Amino acid sequence: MLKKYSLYNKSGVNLFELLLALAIVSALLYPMMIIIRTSKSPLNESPKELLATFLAHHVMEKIIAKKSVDYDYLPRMNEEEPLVDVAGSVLPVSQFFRHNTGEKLISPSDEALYDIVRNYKCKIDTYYLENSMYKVIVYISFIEENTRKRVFLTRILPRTDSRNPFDRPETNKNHEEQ
Amino acid sequence: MKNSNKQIFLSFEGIVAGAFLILAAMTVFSVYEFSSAEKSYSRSDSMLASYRDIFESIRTDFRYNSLFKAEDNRLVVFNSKNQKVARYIFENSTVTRYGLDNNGRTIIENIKSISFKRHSDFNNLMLLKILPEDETIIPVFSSFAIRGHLDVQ
Repeated sequence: MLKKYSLYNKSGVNLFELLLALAIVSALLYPMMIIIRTSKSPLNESPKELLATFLAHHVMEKIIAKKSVDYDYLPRMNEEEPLVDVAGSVLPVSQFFRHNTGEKLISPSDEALYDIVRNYKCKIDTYYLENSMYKVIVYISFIEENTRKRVFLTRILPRTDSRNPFDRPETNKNHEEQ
Repeated sequence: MKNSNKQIFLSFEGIVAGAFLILAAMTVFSVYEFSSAEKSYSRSDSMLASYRDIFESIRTDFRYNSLFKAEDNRLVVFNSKNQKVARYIFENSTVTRYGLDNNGRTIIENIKSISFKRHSDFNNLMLLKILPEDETIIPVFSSFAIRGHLDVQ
């Protein structure tokens, strides 16, 4: 059957054969890239990515710590905020990286840690779910090799109310962190 | 004879066979790459593995126990019966974990400083900072909330 589709009956290579060969090789590049990418071991997580995971873990643990003392507490959604004071930036340091007194968890005296963490930012997304649940997503973003990367952790927390949260905004406001 | 070889190579079947061989070669190469990745362990990779180790160890201790006592170079975790379940002690650039049986296990080496500190606003939250001796290796900051009752020591 295949013989019927043989592309040549003469010696040499014609343009069609060459194009066909190139098309097949090009089509092979995609599965080849997938194979190569899959073969990279997960141990190749970059140090910056690992630190981002630890920082996201810190934010999540602080939420859990506060939730365990104040059961009604739910973190609020916020935009990207720096983790330490950054010169020239008007954005406040994320509430998860400062004490209630305003003192920062990571200060310039922490030297190397402070220098690295200046390039990280924290963002919280929240969603109201069914069955009195509340979803929190903590994003830690950073720049590595001129590429913006993001690590995130997700957790579902219980809510004390089963009503529509948008019906009682003033109650939620009481539970916001300073 | 020469023409005949060329015809076999350039036939449709030949191209398909060639494509199959390329994919097979790439698969063999990728398997080799995957298996050799774990062997090429640099000092930095080894330190990152130690970070993961201490992180997982403290996380497990905090998940299943009730109390902790944090001093600068020392962390003690207690269970609900007030027994010392785990002790993390920093000495000579090394952090050693001692379990209930008092057997020590070196958990991380080549550390310049480590800080175990209770969060001033939350008694149930412990802050961890690790600064490695090698300044080219990334430092660590994280925290752990103890999951037991709140009357922490």
